[in-house]
Amino acid sequence: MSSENRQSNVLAWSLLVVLGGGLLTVLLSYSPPVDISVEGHRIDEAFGYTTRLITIYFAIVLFVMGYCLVRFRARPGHSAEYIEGNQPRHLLMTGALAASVFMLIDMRLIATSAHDASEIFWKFPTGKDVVKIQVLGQQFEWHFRYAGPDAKFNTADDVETTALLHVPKGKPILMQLRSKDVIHSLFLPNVRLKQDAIPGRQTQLWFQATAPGDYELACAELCGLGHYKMRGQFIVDEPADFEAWIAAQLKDAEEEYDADDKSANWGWDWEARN
Amino acid sequence: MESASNGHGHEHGHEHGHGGDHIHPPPSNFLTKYVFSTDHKVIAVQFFCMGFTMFLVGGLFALLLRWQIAYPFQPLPFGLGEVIYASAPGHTMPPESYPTLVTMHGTVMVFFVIIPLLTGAFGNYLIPLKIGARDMAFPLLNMLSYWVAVPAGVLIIMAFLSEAGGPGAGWTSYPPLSALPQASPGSGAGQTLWLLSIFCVGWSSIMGGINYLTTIINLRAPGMSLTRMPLSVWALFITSVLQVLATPVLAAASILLLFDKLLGTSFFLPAGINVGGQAIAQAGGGNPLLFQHLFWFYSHPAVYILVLPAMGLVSDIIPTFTRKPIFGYKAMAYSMAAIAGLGFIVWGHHMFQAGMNPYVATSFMVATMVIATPSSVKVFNWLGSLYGGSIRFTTPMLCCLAFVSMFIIGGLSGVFLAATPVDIFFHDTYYVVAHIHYVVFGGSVFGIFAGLYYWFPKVTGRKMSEFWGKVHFWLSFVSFNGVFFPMHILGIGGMMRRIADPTIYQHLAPLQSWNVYITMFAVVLGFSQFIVIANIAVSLLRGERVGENPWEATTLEWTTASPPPYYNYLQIPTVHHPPYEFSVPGMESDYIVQSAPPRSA
Repeated sequence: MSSENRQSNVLAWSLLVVLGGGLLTVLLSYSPPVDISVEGHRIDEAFGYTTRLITIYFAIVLFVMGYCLVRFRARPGHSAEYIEGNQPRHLLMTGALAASVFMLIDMRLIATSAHDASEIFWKFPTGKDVVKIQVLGQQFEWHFRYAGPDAKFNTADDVETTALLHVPKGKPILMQLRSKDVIHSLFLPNVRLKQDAIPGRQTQLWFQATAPGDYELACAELCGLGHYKMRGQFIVDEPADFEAWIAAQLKDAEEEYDADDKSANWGWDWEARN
Repeated sequence: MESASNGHGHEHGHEHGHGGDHIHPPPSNFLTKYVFSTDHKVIAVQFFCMGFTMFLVGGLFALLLRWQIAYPFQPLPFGLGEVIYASAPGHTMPPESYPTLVTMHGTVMVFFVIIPLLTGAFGNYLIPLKIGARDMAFPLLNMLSYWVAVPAGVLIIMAFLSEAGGPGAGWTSYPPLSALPQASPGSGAGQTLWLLSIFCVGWSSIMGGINYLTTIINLRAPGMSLTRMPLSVWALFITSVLQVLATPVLAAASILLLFDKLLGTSFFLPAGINVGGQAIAQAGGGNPLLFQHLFWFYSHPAVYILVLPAMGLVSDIIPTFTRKPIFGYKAMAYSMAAIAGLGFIVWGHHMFQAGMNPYVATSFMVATMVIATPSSVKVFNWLGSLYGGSIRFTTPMLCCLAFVSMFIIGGLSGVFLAATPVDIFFHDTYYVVAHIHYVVFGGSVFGIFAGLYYWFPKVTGRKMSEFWGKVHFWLSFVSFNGVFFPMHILGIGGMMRRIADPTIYQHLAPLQSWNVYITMFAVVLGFSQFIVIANIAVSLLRGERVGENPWEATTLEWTTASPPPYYNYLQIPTVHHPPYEFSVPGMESDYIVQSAPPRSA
C-alpha cells in the first residue's frame, strides 16, 4: 500500500514538474524580434501583461491540482466526501473565479485592445509627411511602389522595387495593399504588423519606424508552392539616406518607363480611406 | 456467449416488450452484422477503426512536415526517403509536397480523426447505452452516416494521390488559391476531390447529429430526466446541435467553391485576377472573403465540435476515479451550452487581418473573450471534482488530468489571439499552431485516450493493460508538451505557419534549434502511438476479462453485460438516481448506479 502511495505522489508531482518546467521555459525564452516601431510596444505590453496574469492563474490551478492529487489520493482509511458542488457557496466560488478571469484578464485586454485597434493600428495617418507606398502581392514576390517627386502613382517617376522595402525612420509610413492573384499577407515582424493583401480589395497598414537597420519581411498566408520563399528585405533608413536612395532609383525608373506596359504599371490612384 | 444472449433476447424480448421496448432479432449474416450494420455499437467500432487508422496517417504527415522544418530539403534518415519520396530527385521532399502535406494533415486530423472518433465512435457507442435505449432513433440513418464517411475517406486519399498534385491550399482552402489550378497544381483535380470529400463528411456529420438529437430527446429511459443525463450525453447533445446548424454552411461553401472550379461561376473570384501573367477570364464579381466567412461560420463551431464531446467524456470519467459526484453538474452543462452558443458569434476573429472594420473586430473580440468565462467555470468545476475525492490513478484518470491541464493552456493562449492588436502579430504564426494543438491534441486526443482506456472493457469485455497504458500515457504526455510548448516560443519569435523552410529567414535563425528539438519529440510522440495499438491488439486477445462494471461506475452502460448484447438492455432500465452518486453518506457501497432502486423505497 505504501508503494501505491508513493506511486501516486510521484505521478502527481511529475505532472507538476512537466507543466511547471514548460511554463518556465517559455517565460525564460520569451524573445520576440526586436521592436523598431513607435506603436509596437502596445502589442508587447498587452502580451506581457496577459502572460504574467495567466501565468499566475495557471500556477494557482497547477498548485491546487497537485495539492488535490496528493492530499486526496486513494489510500487505506481515506474515503471521498460527498460534495455535489451545487450549494450557494459553491456557486458563489465558481462565479467569483469566472468573474475574476473576466475582469482581470479579459476586460483589461478588451479595454486596451479596443482602443489600440480602432485608435492606433487601424487609424490611418493623414498629413503631408506621410510616406505613401503601394504594395502588390504576387506569387511569390512582394512589389512596392513609391510615387516619386510628382506624388502621383502610376506615372513615369514612380520607383518600383521587388522584395525590397525602404522606409525612412521617424515618418509615418502608410501602405495600400492589393493582390494580383491569390491572398497574401504582408508580415513585418519588427514592427509587429501583418496585413492581408486580397484580390479585388484594398487594405491598409501603417507604422513609424524608430531604428535604422536591415530587417525582414515575409508572407504569412499560404499562397502556393513558393510561399515560404516570399521573403524580402525591409530596410529602415535615416531620412536623408532614404531621399538619396529614392533619387538613385529614380534615374533607373525613368529610363525603364514604358507607358504601354500595363503589367509594369500596376499602381493605382491613391485614394485616402479610413 | 453472444449466441446465448441473442437467444435470450429473442425469447423474452417480446414477452417483456411493451411500446418502445420491442427487441428485434439480431442480424445473422456477416454482411449485415459487421459491415452494413445498423447496430450503434458496431457502427461506433467502425468509426473508431477508421478514425484511428486516419490518426496514424495524419500523424505520418505531421512527422514528414516536422522533418522538413527541422532539416529542410535533407534526405529522411534510415533511407526512408527512398521509400516515401521514391520518385523525387534526391529522394528529398519535392517542393510541391509541403503545402499538400500541411493541407492533408489538418484535413485528416479534423475531419477524419477527431470528429469521427468523438462523435462517430464515442457518440454512437455511448448515447443509447447511457440513456437506456436499445439503439439510435434511426438505425438506418446511422448506418448511412458511416457509409457516407467511408467514401469521404476514400476521396480524401484519392485527393492526396491525385496525379497533378494533392490539394495544397491548407485545411482552410481559401480561394482564389484553392479555386485556380493555375495558382497551385493541387488546386485542380486534387482540390475538387477534397471538396467532394468534405461535402460527404459534412453530410455524414449532419446525419449523425440529427440522429443523436432525436435519440437523446425521445429515447431516454423512464426516469432519465435531462438533469439526470451523464455529462457526456449533454456534451454530445450540444455538439449535435452545432453539427446540425453549422455543417450545412460548410456544405454550402464547398458547393459554391466546386461551382467556381467546375462550372465557371465566380462566387469567390473578383475581377482582374492574373496568375503568373495569365489573366483569369472567368473571374469577376466574386469576393474571396465570402468564403472565409462561410468557412469560419462552420469551422469555429467545429472547434467546439472537436472539444465539447471530450469535455463530456472526461466529466464522466473523473467522478468514477475520484469516487465523488462531479462538482457543479448544472454549471458544467450550462457552461458547455454557453461555449457552444458563443461559438456561433466569434468566427470573425479568424479574419482580423483581412481588413476588417475596427468596430466589427472589437465585437468579435469581446464575444471571443467572453468564452473564457464558461471555460473557467469548467476548469474550476473539474478541480472541485478532485477536491475531497479518493483519487484512483488509473490510465483513464491520468488522461483526464492531462485533458484538464492541457485544455487550460490551450484556453489561456486563446486569450491573446482574441485580442485584436495582439493577434495582428500572432495571426498565422506558430503561436496559433501551439494554441490549436493544445486544445485539439492536448484536449481532444487525451480525452479520446481517456475514453478508449475507460470504455474498452465495456466494448470488448477485457481490460487494457494498465502498465502499457501508463507507459503510453507518460510518453505521449511528455513528448506532446515537448512538441507543442516550444511552438509558443516560435510564435513569439515570429515564425510563420506553413513555411517549408524557416532557415532562409534571418529573424528565425535563433529559433531553428527549437525546431530540431520539436522534431525529436515529435518522433517520440509518433512512435508512442504504436504502444496503444499494440495494447489494443494484445488486450483484445489476452486482456483481463471483466464483468459488467469493472470501474465501479454509476451510469447505465455499466449495468449491462460487457460487451453489451445486441439489444443493450433486456429490460429498459428505470432511472432513479443522478448520474454520479459516489460516496453517498450512510450507504454501504460507495456508488449507486443510476438504475438502482430508490433509496427511500
